[in-house]
Amino acid sequence: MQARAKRISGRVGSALAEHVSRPGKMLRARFAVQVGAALGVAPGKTETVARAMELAHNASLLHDDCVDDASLRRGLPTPNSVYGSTVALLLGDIAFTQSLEEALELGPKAVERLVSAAREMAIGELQEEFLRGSVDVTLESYMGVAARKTGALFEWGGLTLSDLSPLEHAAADPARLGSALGILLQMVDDIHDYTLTDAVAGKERAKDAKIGRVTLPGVFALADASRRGRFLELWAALRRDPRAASDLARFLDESGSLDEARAECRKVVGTILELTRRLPVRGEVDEVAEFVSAMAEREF
Amino acid sequence: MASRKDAVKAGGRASRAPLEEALAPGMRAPLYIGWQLTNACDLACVHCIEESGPGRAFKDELTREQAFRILEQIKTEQVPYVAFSGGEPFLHPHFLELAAFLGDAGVSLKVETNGRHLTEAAASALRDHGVRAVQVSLDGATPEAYRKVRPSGDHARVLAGIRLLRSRGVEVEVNFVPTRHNVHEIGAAVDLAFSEGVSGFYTGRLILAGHAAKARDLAPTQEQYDAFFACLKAKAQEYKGRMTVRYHELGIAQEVRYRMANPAALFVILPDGRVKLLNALPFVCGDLREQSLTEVWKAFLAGWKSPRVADFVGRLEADPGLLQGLHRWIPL
Amino acid sequence: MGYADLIRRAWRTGRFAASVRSSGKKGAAGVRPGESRGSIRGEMEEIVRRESADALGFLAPRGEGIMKLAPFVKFREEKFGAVLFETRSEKVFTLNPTAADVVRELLAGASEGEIGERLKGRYSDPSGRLADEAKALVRQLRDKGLIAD
Repeated sequence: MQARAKRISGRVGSALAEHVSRPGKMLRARFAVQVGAALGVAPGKTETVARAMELAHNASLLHDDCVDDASLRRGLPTPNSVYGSTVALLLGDIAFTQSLEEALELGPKAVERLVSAAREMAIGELQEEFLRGSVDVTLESYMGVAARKTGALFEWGGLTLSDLSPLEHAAADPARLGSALGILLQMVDDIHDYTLTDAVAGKERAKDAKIGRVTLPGVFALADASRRGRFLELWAALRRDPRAASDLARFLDESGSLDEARAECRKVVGTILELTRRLPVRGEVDEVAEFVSAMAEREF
Repeated sequence: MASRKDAVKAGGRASRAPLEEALAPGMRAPLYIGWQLTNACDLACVHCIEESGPGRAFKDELTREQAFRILEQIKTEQVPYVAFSGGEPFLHPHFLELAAFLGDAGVSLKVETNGRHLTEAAASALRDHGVRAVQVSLDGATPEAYRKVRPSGDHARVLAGIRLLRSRGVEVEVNFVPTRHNVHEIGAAVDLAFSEGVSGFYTGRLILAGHAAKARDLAPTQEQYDAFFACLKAKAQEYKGRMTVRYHELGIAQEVRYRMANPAALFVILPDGRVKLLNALPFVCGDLREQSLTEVWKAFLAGWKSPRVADFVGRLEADPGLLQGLHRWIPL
Repeated sequence: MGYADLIRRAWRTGRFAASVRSSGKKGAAGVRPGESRGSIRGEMEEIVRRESADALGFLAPRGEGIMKLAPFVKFREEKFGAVLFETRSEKVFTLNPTAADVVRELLAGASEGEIGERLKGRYSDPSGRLADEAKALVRQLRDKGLIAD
């Protein structure tokens, strides 16, 4: 990653180059490194997969922050807030092309798939954008959007590592493992949106609801006849007054909708752990499992 | 693969039923059958082109056994889609039984009804038989306009029926026939349909045949039609993706001429088992009491090429009055 | 209209619009931004519903996730190949014999990747593009909403 940043720093200057590859929580890189190890993939190749994933993700964040007009990311000022969105969008484009260059080192198939994954990510984002305000959201459709928006890139990592693995591993189905992990990430984030206080999450509470986005807890409230009516009332109230968000959060908690969402997360975790246990390098399995659990248990 | 471009070929222009372009030569059977189960109806609408009404059942409508013989063939020849209409299909003594058969056979069924018989039991039965959609005639946003075209009709009862269907998850479509009495309500009628959870709204021009041909001053004026179609255009855009709003702007003569150039894989079974080329044409191409479905299908394909049909269609544009003879059927 | 025609027309007429629709005054006139946004939302709801099976890929193991015809789509064998009939929109799609074979294999549970392999024995494939073309067809079918995973 450093080398790559250096290579473009000669072209755009070090201050900008840093934004292209700035590390965050590096969940994708961790996923690649640990699953790669458990699949017996050569560390150099695994690194490349990790870099490609992080860069593609970073590209999407750079663009997202422009869309959301966000001023802070990972505790630091965003490039769009410092230099304006034109710069940030271009940095995002660079990050994505660099991601493709990384994939190119893994062969044409990896690139072809990364292109598809990027398309799916963008489609997922667009779907989410246009579903704002819709209460016609089911568990399946919610999961489907998540599978595209966050799952596709993890799925790419899994698929690519699968191709690179010298060991028999069909039972572990790394692509599926990746996709599920990506979806899980989204589910957890969406629960956090209702449960974490402003200080911890670094953003306002129930932001999703305020912008009209029905997420996992809402899906459960809508699916239940006894809760649906009250949810829709609160939802409508929120359209008129953003302060109603705390009522909605409380209702989702007290009605058990949040618990149902948590239970759904545990189900997905179960699926992932089941696959994890089938990874061929036994010595690495525990660490992957630990990572999965850590992702799922991020404070909810 | 011979040519990828040819591998999937869309039926045709999206703005009209693409079925019309669908007639691939050599297709083994129709893709869509419109089946008028009975000519009886418990309404006597001023605009009915079928001249249906109370006591108007044909004397020689198909028996249960005859109807089932046709159903068996629909199943074996894999006709994917059937629409039951009439008259009023609910007045047919074996209507639900016939619907159940098609449901079991995996054939998609649409039911076209006046909406007076949509009880809880009926709605549940239609859902259980896997009916694809129920098309309800609701040509009015208000009871007043509705009753002018359907004199003893009950607007509220029809709406209640639609709600019962929707509550059971049955897809509902609405059909609207414009006349001078209700044409101004088109916008409100589309909105009403949408608010009731309807998935498709279908309309076009009044066809001056049957009862409609005898009534005076029934057809909307040109100005009314202009406003009507302008409104529909806007509504189609407004509800795009949420509810289909489909309307045929062509007059019947042009419509028929278009059909002649592009026959659809669709034929119409009359209550007595005879088969018509097209609802708006008087030509009969076969009789399912005596012939098999595939025999009639072949006659249907040949029928569209008949010079008599071409002659009729050619004269229709100059003389719309020809449609008044729609019910004096002409065997081909 | 292909690019060749577009370019020819544009240079001849001096009109450099991509399509008839965007060149005329009609275009988006009469459509308020909110309205078209709302109509996209409706479409999106339907698309997302159709694609909801994407996520189930991780609930059902890959390979077992058999592609099938989308709801309301009917398949019928014909002498010339087959037809797909979308009863909702009443759209008809005719398939040539090879395309019909691809759909048959899909319905028999072949994954997208396996179809080419399964067809190889049946067709001469001098260009070696059979598998790719089968995939392209599957993508087309999916884009048209005719099959679902």
